[in-house]
Amino acid sequence: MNGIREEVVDSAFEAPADGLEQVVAAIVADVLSFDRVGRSDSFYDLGGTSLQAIRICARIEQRTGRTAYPEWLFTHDVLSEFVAHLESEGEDGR
Amino acid sequence: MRGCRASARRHPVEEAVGDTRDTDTSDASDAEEPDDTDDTDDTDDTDDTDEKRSDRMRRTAWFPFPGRSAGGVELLCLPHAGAGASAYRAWATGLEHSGVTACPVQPPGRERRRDEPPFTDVRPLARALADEIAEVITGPFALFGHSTGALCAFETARQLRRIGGPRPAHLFVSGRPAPHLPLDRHDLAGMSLPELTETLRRLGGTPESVLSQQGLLAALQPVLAADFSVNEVYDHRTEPALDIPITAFAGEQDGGAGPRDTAAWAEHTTRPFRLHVLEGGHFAVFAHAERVHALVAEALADRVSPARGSAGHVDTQQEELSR
Repeated sequence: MNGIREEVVDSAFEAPADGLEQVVAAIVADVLSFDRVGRSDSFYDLGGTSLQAIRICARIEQRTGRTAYPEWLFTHDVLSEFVAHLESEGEDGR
Repeated sequence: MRGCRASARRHPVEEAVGDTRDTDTSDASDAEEPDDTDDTDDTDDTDDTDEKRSDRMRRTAWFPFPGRSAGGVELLCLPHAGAGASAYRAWATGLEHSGVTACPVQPPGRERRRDEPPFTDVRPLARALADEIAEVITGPFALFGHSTGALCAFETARQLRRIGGPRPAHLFVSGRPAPHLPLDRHDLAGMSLPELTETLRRLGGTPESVLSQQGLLAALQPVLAADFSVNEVYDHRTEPALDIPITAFAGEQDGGAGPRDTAAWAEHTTRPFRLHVLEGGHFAVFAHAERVHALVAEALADRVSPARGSAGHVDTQQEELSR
């Protein structure tokens, strides 16, 4: 069973956009053990640790071929901003 | 009973991460993660009645994950160097149904509070946290601290006594020699990344997966340096022992905070002291979280009517190996 996002995030749930946002949101929710993660949710509010950041980036690379650096989850802690950064900076290895 | 320490104790190792249960970056490591379970509760936060809201401790910058108290004992958990409240998020689940509610503490300078400067000295930190506790905590509570967090918890207990604030039912300390024992100094602030990496590697306790992420280390360096300063640049002053029972945890193989150095915490309480030795190293308390939770719950079981230990008796019994 997963944690409930509304218990740690005050703002309303905003569904992730199609494509990369959905993929990343699903990975983040899974690694951080939440039922769901919205596009305006912050990695900090969700209680993510450094090790979880590393794990999330490893999965993103596996799933999408894009390189993500764990510290991006610190500097771009809001999911939509992280994904935007990933889109502009993350190399597509495929 | 105070020993004369001729040589400074080696610094207890610190880890640049909050989650120490898993050191593997591969996907397979997720299978080893304990389930971060929670009660199924379909009620959206916005639908809460006032009555239900009052059961929960309010969320503040210091307490970002207050959990549901339901009248139990709040266990305020202070993190180790470089880590934040997130290190204890899974403890909320582990302690569920025990009557103890994990309440991770977030010092400034990390995670949601990363825009605030971190403390570099334990006393101002203790003052700020004691004030926050006096303001926010209304029911029974206890303090738990790991490594640097143990020192913070101890000085916070002292500060609460000083200001006549609410008194913790218990002080739990882990991964740190007793506060009167001097520590080596590691000044991380001015180190180059390679130097920092090598220092952390030498101290042990930081997973290679983190050491290999240079960008992550660079991001963590300021808060690591500040937390190391809190822990090491500390001049211990003699005060009367706390009128609060102390329970200590030590990893059998923790080079910087082994059983003997941890046993010395006994001097700082007039109430019963217990030492639990856990299998493993510096982060044994996280590796054996389930056992630790059981021991914490047991220690707090009489919180409603605290048993009066013999005044002045310090019981340094119980070295238990947790297998």
